[in-house]
This record gives sequence, C-alpha cells and structure tokens, in this order.
Amino acid sequence: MTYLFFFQYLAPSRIFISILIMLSVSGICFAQGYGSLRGNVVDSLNGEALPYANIILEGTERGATADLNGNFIIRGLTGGKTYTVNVSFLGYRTLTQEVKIDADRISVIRIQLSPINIQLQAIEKIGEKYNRPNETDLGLQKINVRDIELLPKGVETDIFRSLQFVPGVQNTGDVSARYYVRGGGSNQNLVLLNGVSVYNPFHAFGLFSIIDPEMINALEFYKGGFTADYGGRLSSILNLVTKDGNKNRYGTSATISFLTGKASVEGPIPEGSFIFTGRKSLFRDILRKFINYKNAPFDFYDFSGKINFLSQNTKDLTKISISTFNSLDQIKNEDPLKADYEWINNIYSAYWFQEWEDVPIYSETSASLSSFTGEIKPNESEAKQRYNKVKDVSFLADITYVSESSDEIKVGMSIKSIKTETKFENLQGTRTNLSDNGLHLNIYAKYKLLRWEDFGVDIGTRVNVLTLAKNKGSVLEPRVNLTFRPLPTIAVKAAWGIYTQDLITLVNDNEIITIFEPWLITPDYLRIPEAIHYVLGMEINQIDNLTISGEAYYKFLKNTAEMNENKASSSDPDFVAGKGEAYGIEMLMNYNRDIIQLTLSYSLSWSYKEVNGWIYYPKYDTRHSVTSNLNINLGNGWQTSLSWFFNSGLPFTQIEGFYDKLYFDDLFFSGGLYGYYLPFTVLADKNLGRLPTYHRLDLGLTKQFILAFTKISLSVNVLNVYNRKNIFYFERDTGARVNMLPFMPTATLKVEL
Amino acid sequence: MKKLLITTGIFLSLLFVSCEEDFSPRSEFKERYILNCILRTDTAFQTATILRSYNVPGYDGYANTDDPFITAADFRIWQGDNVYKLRDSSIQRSDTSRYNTPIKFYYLKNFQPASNDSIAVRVVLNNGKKLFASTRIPSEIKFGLDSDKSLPPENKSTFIFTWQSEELFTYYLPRLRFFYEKKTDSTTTLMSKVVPIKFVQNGNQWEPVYPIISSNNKIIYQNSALDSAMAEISKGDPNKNNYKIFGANLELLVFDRNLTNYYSSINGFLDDFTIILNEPDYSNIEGGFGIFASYIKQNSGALIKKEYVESFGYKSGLTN
Repeated sequence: MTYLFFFQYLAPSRIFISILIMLSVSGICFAQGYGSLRGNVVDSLNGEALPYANIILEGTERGATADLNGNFIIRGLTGGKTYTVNVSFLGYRTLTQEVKIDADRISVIRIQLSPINIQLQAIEKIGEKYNRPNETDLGLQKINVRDIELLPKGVETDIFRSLQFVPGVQNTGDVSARYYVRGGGSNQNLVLLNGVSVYNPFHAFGLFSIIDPEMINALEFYKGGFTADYGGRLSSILNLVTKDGNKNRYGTSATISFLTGKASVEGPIPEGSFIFTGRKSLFRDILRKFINYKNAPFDFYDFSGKINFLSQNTKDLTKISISTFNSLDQIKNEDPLKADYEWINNIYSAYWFQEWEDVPIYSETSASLSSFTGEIKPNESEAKQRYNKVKDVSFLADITYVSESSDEIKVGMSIKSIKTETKFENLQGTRTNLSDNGLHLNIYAKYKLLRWEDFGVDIGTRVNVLTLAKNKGSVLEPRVNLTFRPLPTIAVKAAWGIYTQDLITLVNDNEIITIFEPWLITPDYLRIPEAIHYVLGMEINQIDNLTISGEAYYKFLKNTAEMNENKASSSDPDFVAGKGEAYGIEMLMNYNRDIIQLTLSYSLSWSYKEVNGWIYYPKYDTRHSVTSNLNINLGNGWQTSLSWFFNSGLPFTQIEGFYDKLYFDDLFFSGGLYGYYLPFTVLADKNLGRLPTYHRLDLGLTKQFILAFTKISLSVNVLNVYNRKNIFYFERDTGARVNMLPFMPTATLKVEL
Repeated sequence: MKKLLITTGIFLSLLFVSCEEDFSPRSEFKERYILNCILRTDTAFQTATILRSYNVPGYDGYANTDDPFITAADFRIWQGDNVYKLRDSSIQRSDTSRYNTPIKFYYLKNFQPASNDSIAVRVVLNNGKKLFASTRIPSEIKFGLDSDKSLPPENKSTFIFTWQSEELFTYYLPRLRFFYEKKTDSTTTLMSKVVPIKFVQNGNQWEPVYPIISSNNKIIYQNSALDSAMAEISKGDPNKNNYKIFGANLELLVFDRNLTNYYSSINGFLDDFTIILNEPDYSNIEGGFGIFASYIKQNSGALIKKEYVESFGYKSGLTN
C-alpha cells in the first residue's frame, strides 16, 4: 500500500522536482568568456514600449523577441566582438546599430524605433521577423495593439471580439463578447489587466468588453497548455498590458462612435509618464439592435489611469507603475416598479520591474486590489434580488534568471486573499446566501531550456501551498511545453499540464444572455475543479512571409462546478460536480507581405459536458469554425479590411410537443381546477438540435490624415454586409426567430493632438 | 482590378443566395401526461385534472383544439392507510374559444386533509401509464404576539403582522382585507377591500404594491397605505355615511414545498434582460408533468379603531 502510494502520488512529484533542480544547476554553471546584450525597444515619439519587436544579430542565428514590456536579453555572445543589431517592428523603420559585447559583462542598448509616416504611399519593408527556432510558445498568441487596430471596428473596437480570429476561440454570436476556449466555459478564462484579475470584464450584459483598446499596448493570449507562471483558471489566460503614456510630450485624443465617446490624456512627468483614458456610453439607440428591452436607461463608463516612474541607465532599469481601473455599468429606472442594475469594477495596483545591474536577472513585484460588485435591486418589481461582491487583494513576486546558455529560470510566488459575498434567489424562489473568504498561496518554478537551437522545453510546476477552498485539489500543477525543429522550416510542438481553479462562478447553462454570474469560492462539498491539457502542434515556415500552424488538443475537465438546476430548497446545494471533455484540431495561416496581411483559421472541435449523469453538448460547441481577415494598406493613409466568419450551428434544445400547463395568478381566488391553462413547450433532450450555420462579412475602411497638427482617423465599417439572418435563438412559445445583428453601417471618428 | 471586382461580386452573390437552410426546432413528438392536484385544508371538496400533451404543425400551442383533458383513469389518494378513489366529472366551459367540450376533472368529496398529513397519489391511465406523487400538508403557523392588534397603530408609521412556523422552508402569501358594508337605497352589501403594503410614486402616479409570495414571516403595512385603502372604499361617492367598517382580517396562505416550487417556477421572473431558453418546468409527478401539492389558509383579525373609521366619514361596525 505504501509503495503504491509512493509511485502514485509522491514519486512523480519528486522526479519532476529533481529534474527541475538538475536543469537549474546545469544552467547556472556555464563557461566564462561570453558577454550578453540586454535592452529595451520603445517608440521614438512617445517612448511607449514595443512588445514583440524583433532583435536580430546580423550574420548570426541569434536574436530575440522583446517581451510584453519591450525588454529583451541575449546571452552567450562572443566577448570582445562587435555585433550589428537589427531591430524591426511592424509600422516602424528598421534600426541598425552596432554594439560591442564585453566578455563577462552585460552590454545594454536602449532602442528607439521611428514610426513610419502614415501618409506614405506604401509600407516600408519592416524587416525580418525573428522566430527563435526553439521558442516554446504552443498555444500562445501574441497580439499587438496595431493588429487590433487593423480589424474592422464594428460598433466599437473590442479586444475580446478580436480573439475570435484565434482558432479554438468560440463565441455564441454577435450579441456577446464572452468567449469560450477549447470547450471550456467562459468563467474558465482569466483576464489579467497589468497582471491583476478582472472579475467582470464586460459592459452592457457582455455585449462589449470593458477593456478600451485605446489603453492597451499589447496582449498575450494563451488558449491552452499555458506554463507554470500562470494559474487560477482551467482554460485560457488573456494578459493585457496598458500603455505607459507619452514620455516625450503631452497629448490628448478624443473618439466618438455610434455607442461611446472617449478621451485620453497623456504626457511626461519627471522621471516618467502618465496616461488617463475614459470612455462613456453616449448613445443608447445602437443597443436596441442587441437587446430586447428597447428603452433601458443604460449607462456605462470606464476609466483607467497609470503613472510610471522610470529610471534607466547603461546598467540597469527600474520601473514603477501605479495604475487604476474603474468601471461602472448601471440601469437606473425612474419607475420604482422596475429593477435597478449595477456592476462595478475597481482595480488598483502597484508594479515594480527591476533589471538588476550586471546580473542577467530581472524581477517583477506587484500588489493589487481588485473588487467587483454586481447587484440587481428589485425595488418594487418582481425581479429577484441578487448581489455578488468579490474582493481580491494580491501580492505577486517573481524573478527570472537567464543563463549563458540562454536557458531561463523563473521562480515566483503569489498570495491572494479573497472574500466573496453572494446573495440571490433562483427561478424557483429559493434563496442562497453565501459569504466566504480564503487565502491562496502559490509558489511556482519553471525552467526554460533553450540551449539547443532546435529543441526547447519549458518545464515547471505550480505548488498550491494554500487554497481558497477547504477541500483541496491537486497540490502540484506540473506543466511542460516543448518545441523540436527537425528542419529549419518545420517545428513540432507539444504541451501538457494540470490546471486548477478554486474560484468559480454560478452560471446557468440555459441562459443565452446572462447578467448575473456570481463569483464564489468552491464550496466545501465540491472538489476543486481541475483540467488536464494535452496539445500537439506543428508550425511550417516553408515560404517567406507565410506561416502555417496546426494544433490538435484534448482537454479533460473534472469536478467542474455546475449549477444545480434541481435546487428546490435553501438546503439543496447550489452546485453539482460535472465533467467535461473537448478535443479538436486547429489550423492558422498568416501571410504578411508589404501592404497585405491575410489571416485564415479553421477549427474542427467537439466538446461535451456531463452533469447529473446527462451528457450533452455545451451551448458553445460548434463543429466547424472558419475566420478570415484581409487587411490592405492602400497608401495615402487609407486602410481597408475585410473579415468573414463562419461557424457551424450551435446546439439548442428542440421542442418535443406542448401541454396545457396550470397557472394561477392568485391562489386566494383560484387554485387546482379553477386556475387557467396555457400552452407550454415540452423540451426534448438538452442541446441535441443544431441551429443553422452562422456566417457574416464585415468591411472596414479607414482614412488617417493630418490637419493643422491634428491627427484625424475616420473609420467607416459595415457589419454583416450581405445581411445574413443569423439566428440568435427562437422563442419557445411562438417559434419566432430572433436574429443577430443585421446589415449595420457604423462610423468612428478619432482626433489626436 | 477588374478581375478582383468580378470575383468579389460573384463571391458576394453566392453568399446572398445561399443563406437559408433546412432548420426545424422540433423533434419527434412523444405523448406525455400531466397531473394537477392542489389539496386545500379549507374545503372538503378536492379536485384534480389529468391531461395529455399534444402536437401542432407550427409553434403555436393555441392551434391545438383537441381537448387534452383525460377521464376514466384509476385515480387514488392515500392518507395513511386510507385509500380514496376520485371520480371524474365535467362542468361547462365558460371560454369556448379553444375547446368547446366541457372541462373534465376528477373530484373527491368529504376529504379535508389536516396539517402534517402525508398524502400520496397514484394514477393509472387507460393505456397503462402510471403517475405517482406525494406531498405533506404544511404545519399550522402561530401568529406572533408582537403583531399589531388594532389599526392604525399608535406612535408608529407601520402596521405589522408576524407569525412563526415549524417548517424550515415554507413560503407564504398574506392578504389584508378591510370588511365593510355598503348601503344603497334598499340593499346592503357586504364587501371587502384588499390593502396594499404601500404606494410608490411613478412619475405623477402613485402605484399600489401588494404582498408577494415569500419566505418572510412578517408583513409590514405602511399607515399611509391603510389610509389610502380606507379612502378608496368610497372613492367617488360623496355619501360616506353609507359605509360601515367592521374590521380587518389577514389571510395567510402557507404553501407546502411542492407548491412553493411550482408557484415560483410559473411566476419565475429573474429580470427584464436575462434570456433563458430552457425554461424551468418544476414538477413532482413521477412519470409525467404537473403538480401534486397543498396549502393551508389561516386568518388573524384586527380591530379598526372607531375614531379612525369616523375620520373618513364612515360608520364604525364596532358596538363599543
């Protein structure tokens, strides 16, 4: 029994940790006589970091891609040699600079790239994109804010909606920005804003994300197989980093669309910069296209602010940022017989980034408070009272060491103190009143083995020392992500990992518009939800400017917290444990040449849920999904884009028949026989039917020009060009078809000073 | 460029003409059976109905005009060791817009269940299908000693009834009525006025708010609501002296758990925005749909002070 326990539980963990330690030691002890190059890449006009900029050392196979903060480090360079460094980035002039590398020293360069004038006839050659051959990036999409700007804007440019171009990401239609990744629920996606969790990242019932693209500098999206430095969710990670603000001059901008007005102000401060952005709903008419309740007095705003202090010299770099993000959505009725609604996010954080002098180490430390309050106040209406508050106080610290061999070691820890309060009444009138709090202490370590040019491994684990939920799940969450490049143009990649999530939401599977999805700590009667990801991928770069990649995945979910639809009394549990399974293949093609950017993606997927012994397709399960996007720079500040989306039908529950159901308005006057009977639908097995296919074509045309020192951008977009009648749902009692967005032209005007 | 335009045109044309697919939100029809029976303790005459489900060509259930009510089933009720058989009958239907046949129902005379009785039902249809259900009659509640006994209450702005129950999860529906007599030329009519708990302002209008089903074991009436209800008794009638006010009575319906769940599910309303496709269909009937449940009704009276009645110009029904 003891041996069995050892082999089942302890042995794999110890072997895994031993491997990590061995690799760490071997990485640190390396030959002397080499030098390193460290630096960062920023925009020459505003000093904003340029994430994912390409750094190539001419005449060598060496290079790097700047990280989310624009920083990079290249180690193991020959000491005493002068290297020619080419730095390039989409939309910027390639910069070439010579750097002498000293042995046993870290040479530092601070690179400023100049943006290309928007009125040039054609884009200049942007330089080669550097792809580290052994980059362990399976499942990772790096999206630059410029990529988002090129997409058709629709009513409002939306980062979440732009994710639907990533194969494996699914949404349930035009009327929701919620996304589902590889068969996982939307509450299994972590949204991080400057490293801080955002608990309700939506405006207007989920129609739009609260993240204003104007404030975002770059984002990373992990759709699975994510490495040990991320945790807390079962399916995906969206890591958004905001702009720092113009470090060189003061600037303002104002934008108006059919939905919102927004403004930003930014500029330098001593040893740093600041940026404040704000957005407010202005027009309600457009919402009528989305929601049933046409006259809702809808109002929302979001505000973000960030102040940065930067100290950099030829040896080290210190950056401290203090940021805030606040959003409010509300429906405040004057009529006391109608309910009021309010959703509030408040996020405050402090972040310290340090490049340490003369050592290839950098550290990141942050402290934050993220709170969300959602409340439905019934007033004198029949609406159910519902309230949820989550308060998350977090401290995170990690340190990364890059060895001479280019291997990286990262260790870190996170402490989260979370308090949740939840009060609500379900459709059957049963009340729930839950308050809980807990402490989550997690340490993680990973080793990124990059010493061999054609082979890379990112191996690590998270250790859940303390969990929010009392019923513990896996203590270890091991992760592996590897890349092998048998040929220079072909890479084979694989990833595996165990993931846990002890903060869950109560979501009704039957709702297609959800306005209340409370966050709760996994209750004592459930085990912590857990997922295992298996991913296998291939990337082909056979033709210049063309990248084709494919991934196959299998995801298994267990102990998922599913709403107990049979809850009839307060003593019944709100959740029951569920299981899930998802698998599929995904293809992505990117073509980037001069003035044309083309992206095509296809995914073939299956997903299932099992709750109370019933196996069914979740509402976001779609078999085939195709997205395409073509951007053409027409010159003279003209830019056009065309996007086409196709999804095979989503599941729905069919009608099996009808019966006359007994109703009674007032039992004082009636009851039993003396009530009245109205037709009621009898539903067939859950989600066995399929809605018709969805497809939609969007067009966008943008003109940028400068008028009296003012940069003006005018975008005209057409949603659903051929007015496809994509079904959203059909009404049970009438069979009436409710469609999604019709043909809809929109316009956006942006003015920058 | 010309080729590009032509290709784009052809592509868009194809999309325009290929939009409609075969799609049916219907699956194969299966016949289901529905039993409805709500037992009451304030009567010895209990009723029930049995129906079958039906199919219609479109999506409008009202299109069905074939009477789905079923008779001739073997319908029995168990109360402990006692078994009662229900008979079927029919009464004329007042609204014949959909079905022009009489309403078929089952009944049981001289059956008045009491609080805490456990009752079970078994129905065997002619085709052999069986339906089962059970319920327990809720316990009687006790009105609180801290309830106000007369109105309007002195030195406070609200009039309160409280009660206690042994049940853990019971829902209540209270109703307060003023009983009064209206005298016209030659007749005197006994009438009642339902009292709202309060009035709320909606623009220039004041809207009454009535009690709703809830698990609260207290009901609070604002004095202003009592005043308004009292004034409305004779609204538009200048002859206030024709009204004689007797007193107030709080009726309280106490639901069993099945009825609570059913009532909540048919009145299930979350908010104006949530869209739920698969509407909950609560039923405690094994083998079918419908409801087998019970409720009790209890009363508590309150005096209406003579000077208060007279302040409206009415006569008081109090003898003292």
